[in-house]
Amino acid sequence: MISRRLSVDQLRNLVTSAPKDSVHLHDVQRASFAQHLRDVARPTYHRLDSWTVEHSRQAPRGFRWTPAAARRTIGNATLRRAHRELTTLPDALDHEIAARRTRCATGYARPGSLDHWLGALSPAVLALVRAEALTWVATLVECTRGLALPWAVVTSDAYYDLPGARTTLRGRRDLVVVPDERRVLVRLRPGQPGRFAGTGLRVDLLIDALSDASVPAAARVLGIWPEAGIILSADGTLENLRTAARVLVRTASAPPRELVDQAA
Amino acid sequence: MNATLPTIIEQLHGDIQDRPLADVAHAARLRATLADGVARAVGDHLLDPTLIVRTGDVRRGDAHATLASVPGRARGVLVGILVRLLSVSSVTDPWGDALAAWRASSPDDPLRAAFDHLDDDERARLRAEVEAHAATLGGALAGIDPRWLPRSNVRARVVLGPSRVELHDAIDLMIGVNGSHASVCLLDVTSAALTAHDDRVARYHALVQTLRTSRAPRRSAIFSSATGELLVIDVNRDELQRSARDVLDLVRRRVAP
Repeated sequence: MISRRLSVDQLRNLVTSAPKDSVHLHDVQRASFAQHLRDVARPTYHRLDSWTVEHSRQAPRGFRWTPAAARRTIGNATLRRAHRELTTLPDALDHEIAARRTRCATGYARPGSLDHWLGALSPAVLALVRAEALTWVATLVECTRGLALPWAVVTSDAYYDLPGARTTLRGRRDLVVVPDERRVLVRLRPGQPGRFAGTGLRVDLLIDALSDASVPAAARVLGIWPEAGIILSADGTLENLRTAARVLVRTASAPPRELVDQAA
Repeated sequence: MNATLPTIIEQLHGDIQDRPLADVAHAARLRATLADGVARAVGDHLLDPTLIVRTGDVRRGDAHATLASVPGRARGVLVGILVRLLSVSSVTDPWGDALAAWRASSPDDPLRAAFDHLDDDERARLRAEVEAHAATLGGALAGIDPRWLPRSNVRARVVLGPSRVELHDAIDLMIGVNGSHASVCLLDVTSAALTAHDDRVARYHALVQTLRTSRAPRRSAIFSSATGELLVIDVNRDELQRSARDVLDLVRRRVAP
């Protein structure tokens, strides 16, 4: 695990110094991991991600959309759209929100989804959504400005459904930087890195590797905490992937700490 | 520089030709100054709990927070939300829009519960106040070019060395994007009148932003939505060093027996 102060030079150094040797997860390793999770599977459907690993001692709280919860999805989509349509970020943001509200108005948005929530908002709350998303995307642009390496906003997070384990893994990723044949994942994180931030990054790395069997694991994952001005990185080594797999199995098998406390 | 101007954004952004080169070298020196100063003040033991320096501490010059009333705190929150709304759109119904946005953004905010228990008279008085602040803000924030990428409610938490001292900050509005020249301008909007200590706050914002991004911003400003007063400082190494001294004075007072 490497920690650096946030600057575009440090970001570039961390990308270009990523390990050259790539790791490929084979079918045997995938099957073994799936079997371990099947062994601890709960009767109900389960979703695991870096958040559940980093906050495994807390009982999960009900999710509801807020402008802050929506900023990452809308902000990343805005940056993708701005690159695709060669337009300014504010225009791309307006188009993105309008497109999502149109999906809702035409009945294509599932209840509970972001687009469905956006479709029901008043102009004032929409303005706050716009302010949150613009702040997110501007931060992303600020972090990558002058990087001088090919990068792209990923089209979606990484998902991997474990056969027979009723468990879906979700790996968050915002950007992918491709200096050569290697891939380096980048995540933008709010707040300060916590005690288990490195573990969370390794989990994102593993789920990204599991989600696409046709490509090797990313050479490195970088977590950027703009509020704290810090970058953390974890390499895509077999050791890191194994550590992440063990942590995921442990998290899946342990009930949330608060539930244990309540039972006691 | 002190001024009372109806519009402030263009003044903050200024003439593009006048921008100095970005100062990317001074942040390391500031970090060293602060780390040394904190180590001298704290000694070699870890502070428990963490000593947190906030904007309010810098404004007061001490660490003793005075808890504002529920209407006072709600006014601050609603004015902050209005700044965010005005940074990306126009606002036709300041009270209704700010309330709707507050409800959507902080469903579990305990202050909201207290606000909901205000009586009709307190609520009407608060509404009149918020609408007056909105009128001042609306004129002042007009003319934000979307290309300046307005970011609102930008938070920062900078850790100073291993002694568990943290600098916390939140900038109401930030415009401009870093490049080879210093372009970023910081704006703090206060719903109170400006005081003699507000230059310390403007410097503090610039200091934390420099430590966080390793680049000094171009300007730091404070605008009072109560009076329309504006205070602007051009950020330079002297101002940043002064702010580092302000922070160290504060830390010394906090750890003094």
